[in-house]
Amino acid sequence: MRTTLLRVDDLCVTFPGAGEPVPAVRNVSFALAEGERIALVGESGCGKSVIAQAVMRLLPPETAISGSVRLNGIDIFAQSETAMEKIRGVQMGMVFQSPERALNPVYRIGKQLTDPLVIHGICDRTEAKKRVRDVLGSLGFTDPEWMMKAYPWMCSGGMCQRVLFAAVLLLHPQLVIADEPTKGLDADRLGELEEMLCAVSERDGAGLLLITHDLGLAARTADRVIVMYSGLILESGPSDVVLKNPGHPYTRGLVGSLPENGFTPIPGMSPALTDLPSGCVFHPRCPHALERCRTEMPDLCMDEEHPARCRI
Amino acid sequence: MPGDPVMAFVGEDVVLTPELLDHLNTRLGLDKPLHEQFSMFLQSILNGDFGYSYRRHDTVAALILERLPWTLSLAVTSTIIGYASAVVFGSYAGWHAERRASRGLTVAALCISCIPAFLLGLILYAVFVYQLRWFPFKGLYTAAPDLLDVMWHMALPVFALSLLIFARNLLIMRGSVLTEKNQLYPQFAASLGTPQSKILYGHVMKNAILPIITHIAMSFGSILSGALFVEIIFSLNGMGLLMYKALTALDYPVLSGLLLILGIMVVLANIAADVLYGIVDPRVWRTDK
Amino acid sequence: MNTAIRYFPAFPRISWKPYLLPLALISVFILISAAPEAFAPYRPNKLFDPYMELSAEHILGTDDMGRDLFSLLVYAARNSMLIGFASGALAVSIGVAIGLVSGWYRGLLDDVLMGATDVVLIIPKIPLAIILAAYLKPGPWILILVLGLLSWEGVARVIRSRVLQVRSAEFILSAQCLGFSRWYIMTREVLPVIFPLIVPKFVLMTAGAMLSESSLSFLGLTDTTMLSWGTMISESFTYSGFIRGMWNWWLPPALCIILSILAVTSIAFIHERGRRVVIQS
Repeated sequence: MRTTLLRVDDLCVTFPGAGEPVPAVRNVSFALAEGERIALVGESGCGKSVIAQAVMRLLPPETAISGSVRLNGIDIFAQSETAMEKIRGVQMGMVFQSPERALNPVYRIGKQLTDPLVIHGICDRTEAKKRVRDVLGSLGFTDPEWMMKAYPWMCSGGMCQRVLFAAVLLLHPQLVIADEPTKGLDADRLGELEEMLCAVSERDGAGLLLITHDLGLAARTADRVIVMYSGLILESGPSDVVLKNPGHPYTRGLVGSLPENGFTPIPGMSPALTDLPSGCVFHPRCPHALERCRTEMPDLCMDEEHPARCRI
Repeated sequence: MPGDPVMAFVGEDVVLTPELLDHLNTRLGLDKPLHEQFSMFLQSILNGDFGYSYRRHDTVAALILERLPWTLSLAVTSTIIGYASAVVFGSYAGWHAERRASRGLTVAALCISCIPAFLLGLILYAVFVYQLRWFPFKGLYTAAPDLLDVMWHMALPVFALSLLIFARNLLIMRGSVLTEKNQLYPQFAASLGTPQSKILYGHVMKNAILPIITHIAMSFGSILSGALFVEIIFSLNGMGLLMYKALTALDYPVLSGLLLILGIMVVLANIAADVLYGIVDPRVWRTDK
Repeated sequence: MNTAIRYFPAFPRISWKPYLLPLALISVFILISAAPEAFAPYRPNKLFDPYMELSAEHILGTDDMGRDLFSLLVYAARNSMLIGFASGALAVSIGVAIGLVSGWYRGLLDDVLMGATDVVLIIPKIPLAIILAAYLKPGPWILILVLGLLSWEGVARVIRSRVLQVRSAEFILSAQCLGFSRWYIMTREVLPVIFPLIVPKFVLMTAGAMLSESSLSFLGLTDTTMLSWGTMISESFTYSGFIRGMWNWWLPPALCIILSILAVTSIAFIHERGRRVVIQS
């Protein structure tokens, strides 16, 4: 039984918005063990990235957050900002979407990679440069020296993506969050990416929280899958179980919309977070909707092996 | 065009016969076509001859050179003080935008930037010189140009001009920092555990300062004009005062010399700003796409 | 990423409360300039004893010729407001026209116009305005012309880049396919998109023109018979008002100048802040 690395309990995130408050994440709970890989899947706007930012405590101060997030037993929301600066990077790291924009355009890549090592007091600058060179080499760069002197805008999206991984991995965090890592990547790079994601947990024993809308990637990489919709968890469980034998109608619809399964889309669109339907949040698009789905929202018990809000 | 050149420099009290008038016209080359006059002008410029001001009985070059350092020291000192404080306070106001101090700073800067240069000088003069007698009445120095004396005389003018520069650029810097705050790279740096201060002064500031550098070039003209008004109010014997007197006396040689110098200074400022921008922002060097 | 730009952008729920104070202030000024007879106790040319102190009949006293200063203040509003707003309107009109044409037609016309814009940009404006003013000793209308002609390049650039963006958007293409004439497209489809840019620019141009007018008037470079707040301050200097410590002569017009510029600039600033809030959320 591996130790729990990350524990999220009843997390709710509400943004103030331009007029009405926007409930981005509602009552989300899950646990990630050391060395485990969990994938958060769902459509755009379902709240998966918000969960990542909440865990890293990178949300703007006006956001209303309730619930708890515990990393290695530490209550993230109770920490001061100074304490968080020590936790971020070394205990948990995040690979962002849009790698080119995540890097500062006016500084060389070498500096951006060595700085965190020096700031956290892990080693001095000379040692840091050596480590950066090694990591860049191991990630497939043929000329690490050039890479270190280069600026981010000189590099392609894929190269920036690998630089981002390097930055995160250099600090050996115990939790790695990857936010939509396949965005903007060419198909031939996907294989490399999957290797990198798996290597993260196998090499370092780190836990991986993978956020993606790509079900295939989730199936190949993750041990467990959590399906989200409009800020709620609809289903969760071992990846092969959930994706081969989905319980919830939404998951069934998602799986059915894959090209290899017939490419049948789910009718309708996911609701705006300010205008949620009554009762079960999925009922307007559900082919099995009953009368009571319009008024009742089914519960979820996350302690089960394969919890789902609704089973067909 | 009001003010015939010859009449202007001869003066309106002298009676001229038509023959004398013609003679003067030929001598000054005023009967030649305009473009020829212009090329004569250029030639003499290149020879260092800016012309002669008959009003002031001195060469234009000497007049301007005598005053140029004073105007420049006023403008440059105010620019440095104004921009430096604008960058520091503007970053603070942008980064911690919700704090009351930031809001206060922003409102104050907004109000001050709406005061015309001459009015700010006027109000400061009325309060600190006229009423309180803390500063001298006029001029650059009392008896001789001694450093402390000059500093005392220039303190209020420099304060006025730098206050204006500070106010306007604080708003720009603040806006720039606010924009950069929303970019992805500060978030990424934060996720790696970079402390807030290093994110602001290391990462964000270098990006946020770029619009300010562009602005220095464009606003050099208005800084010079601000210096001009300040000089007039405080009776500082610089290029501004020279221009004002030349305007009222219709002293054309001085005016054209001044305009040329001003133009050159503006062009130089633009070049300097371009170079500075290239140093700060490496994206300028890319020859790509 | 070519998101289709909405036709008439749905106005987000911006609160108009912060605009209230500056709008009220500038409206008061405009009102006063439109009907000075209603606010001034006397006609500006009526002469009394010179250099009078503040009193119930003369709220601000009188000047060296014996004119009531408060009435002068009220009547001066007209020129100051007129020159400011008219120059702003002129500058914006020229800027919009050039930006629109430049962005729409692109190519050689665009290059030529932008080159001209660069030249205007680099010329130091106030020294040039001063020199022009010295030659022309302009009254209000020439001043409007001069100030308007010197300030349009910022507007032109901004409008041009927006037009360039919009031009390649799909709804323009579809309008062209449907056979609408260029003029129709320009006025009916493109203008609504650039309108949100025009208002803050107009406001800023007006503030700049007010600043320039007051500065030029103070230097005595404008038509001396013109009555504006700037000329009032200039006169207070020339006729020993300042030396005599007659703050009632120059301080009220100074305050009016500052307040009017402040009111106008605040409108632009609040608009900018409102836009940023919307973009962030």
